[in-house]
This record gives sequence, C-alpha cells and structure tokens, in this order.
Amino acid sequence: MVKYTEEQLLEVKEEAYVPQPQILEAFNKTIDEVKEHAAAEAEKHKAIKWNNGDTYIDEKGHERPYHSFNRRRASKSGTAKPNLRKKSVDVVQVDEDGWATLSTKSNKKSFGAEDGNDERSKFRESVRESAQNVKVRPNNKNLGSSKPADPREVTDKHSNTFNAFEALGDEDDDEDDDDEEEDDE
Amino acid sequence: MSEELTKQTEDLSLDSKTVFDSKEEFTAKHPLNNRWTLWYTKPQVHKSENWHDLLKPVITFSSVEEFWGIYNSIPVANQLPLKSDYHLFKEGIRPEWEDEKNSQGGKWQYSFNNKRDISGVINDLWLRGLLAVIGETIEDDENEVNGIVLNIRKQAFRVGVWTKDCEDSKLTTIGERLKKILQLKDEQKVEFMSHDASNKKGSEPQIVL
Repeated sequence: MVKYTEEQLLEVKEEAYVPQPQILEAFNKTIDEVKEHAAAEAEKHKAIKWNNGDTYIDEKGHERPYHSFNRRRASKSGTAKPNLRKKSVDVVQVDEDGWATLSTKSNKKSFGAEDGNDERSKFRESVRESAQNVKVRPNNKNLGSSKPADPREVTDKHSNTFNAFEALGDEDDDEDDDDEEEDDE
Repeated sequence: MSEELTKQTEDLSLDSKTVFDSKEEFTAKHPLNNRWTLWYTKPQVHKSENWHDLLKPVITFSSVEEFWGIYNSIPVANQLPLKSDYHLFKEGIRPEWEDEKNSQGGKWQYSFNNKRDISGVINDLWLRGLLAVIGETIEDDENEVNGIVLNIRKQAFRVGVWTKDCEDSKLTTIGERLKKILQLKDEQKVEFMSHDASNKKGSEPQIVL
C-alpha cells in the first residue's frame, strides 16, 4: 500500500497540476454565486429590519424612512434637568428703625386656596355658636377600640338624670371638634 | 449548483494521466493508493432544491500533483459560504450514510465551536486532514476510512472522518490520529458515533477519546 506522510505530500506542492481547469472554474463561479446570494439576502434582511418601506421626501429631496420619528429621545444623563417651577422670591423688608429683614416669599399656592374663605369663616362661626348648645355624643366604634361596643351604651336612650362625668366628657369633645377644624386649615 | 457545473461533472472523465496510464504524457509522478472524489454541498438558495440537488461531485483525482492543483484552485475552508460542506471520499462512495459502504459505519467527529478563534487555523487543520486521508496515514492497514467531511456552520467548523465499520478495535487508532491531526488538547474530545445511532435522538457516542 502506497502511503505518503504529510511532509512527503507537502514536498510535491510545487508540482501542482490542475487536471480539468474548466470544472474548477465552474465550481468557483458557483461558490461566488452562492456568496452573492447570501450577501443579497443579508442586505434584504437588514432592509426589512430597519425600514418598513414607509418613507417621505425631506427638504433636500432625499427619501427618508419615517421610523426616525419613532425613536425615543436620546438619553441626557449627566446633565441637570431644567427646573420649571417658579423660584421663591427674596424680599427685603425695612422696619421703622431701619433694620432690614430678608424673607423668602414663596409663590407656592394650592390651586383654589383662596376660594371660599368667606364661606369657611361663616361656617366656623356657626359651628362655634351651635357647639355651645348642642352636645354631641360619639359612638364607641369611632373611638378606635378593638373591643366590641356595649349595646347598652350604644343605644341612644333619653336620660333625665344628670351625670357630671358625662357632661365633662361632652365639653372635652366639643373642644376637640374645634381643634380638628383648625387643623384642617 | 449551477447547471454548467452539473453538466460538466456528469460528463467528467474520471481518467487522469499518470505514469501508469501513459509513459509519454504523464503528469502525475506521485500516484495515490486510491482515487478520491471531492464533493460539495451547496447551501440551499431556492426552497425547491433538495439534498440531491445540493450535493454534487466536483472532481476526481488520483495523484498528489492533481490534489495540489485542485486544492490551490478552490476556496479554502474559511472562505466557503455558511451551510457549505466539503467531502473527500474514495471514488464510488457517496458521502451519504445510505451508501452501502457507509451504512454499517459511522464517523469520528470534532466540532470547533470557538469559530472566531479557530478561523485563522481551520484552513491548515482541514489541509492536514486531507493529507492524512489521501496519504492514508490516518490509519494503518485497516482500510476503514471512507472519507473526510468539513461542515461550515454559523456556530462551528466541524470535521468528521467516515468509516465503513463500527468495530472499536479498528476505530481507536483512527480517532487518536484525528485528534493529533486537528491538534486537539487532551480535554478536547473526539467522538465516534455510528450512522444508525446518529439518526436516533439522544444517542450517546460509541467511543470518546
């Protein structure tokens, strides 16, 4: 059996002989065609990926795809965002003795903050007046106790007897009501 | 495959001139022990193309000089389009497992998955494989090797040596030599799998070296 080592075969490399060059030319041509087809397919794929075919003509007459409009705004990380709020204004007040006081006047106001001030004052007055005459008894369930309310206490029985502790408690409650209203301001 | 090439390969005369054919006009001073046919699998371009349309014999040769003439005239391994295969098989054996000379056999195979890293040396490794097969140093006197295959894939270059049998005793030497030819490290394992097993899902390799 004839065997050739790698070295023996490499020694003959310079004596190369092409038996049928036309076949190898045709073979190379085939491979070139395959490569061209693959390149065209890759281009087509690229075009499909980046362009949906919907285009417009820009001011310079160039055809451009609309997809550029659909891009998200580029990130501007690293730069401070603009503060669109109105800044507070520093006001210098000079009193009668000539002392100047620097105070910051805030422009921050709630929407509709000054609306209905008159109605609110009237309402508060009426509540104060009526609070002196009307006694309000809170229900146990509003006191936040986890214990079930005693039905005897919950029942709103009319009682002619005078209970000093109850009367004191009612007065405290009235004051609390006023406090709550003030807190709302 | 272009029609031109197909026609030419069909009309191909497999007779080449050697010193044994014609003492006056011989061009081959170094005849090979066997005649070898180079096959090419073309990537599918049209959906209508089937396996038989894509796999074609390119040329047959029988001398070292012819081998070099052909090798120098065709694209090297890393210039082939994706999904291409080169097959170099003994004349008369189709590079298909259905061929009667392959049907009882299998293949030693190694897949270079680090394609970027190997791209610079795959041409040399494939050439070493070709030389070992046509010089028949890839085996002793077992006469087991039918051919060698190179697959160009997206993720890998794959080299396989096809044998006609699956007897472990005959295969080990071939596997060890393939590993040397491909300059693989100990941890880079070559695997042998019969064609029957390759067609079954989940089959394990018969030998791993």
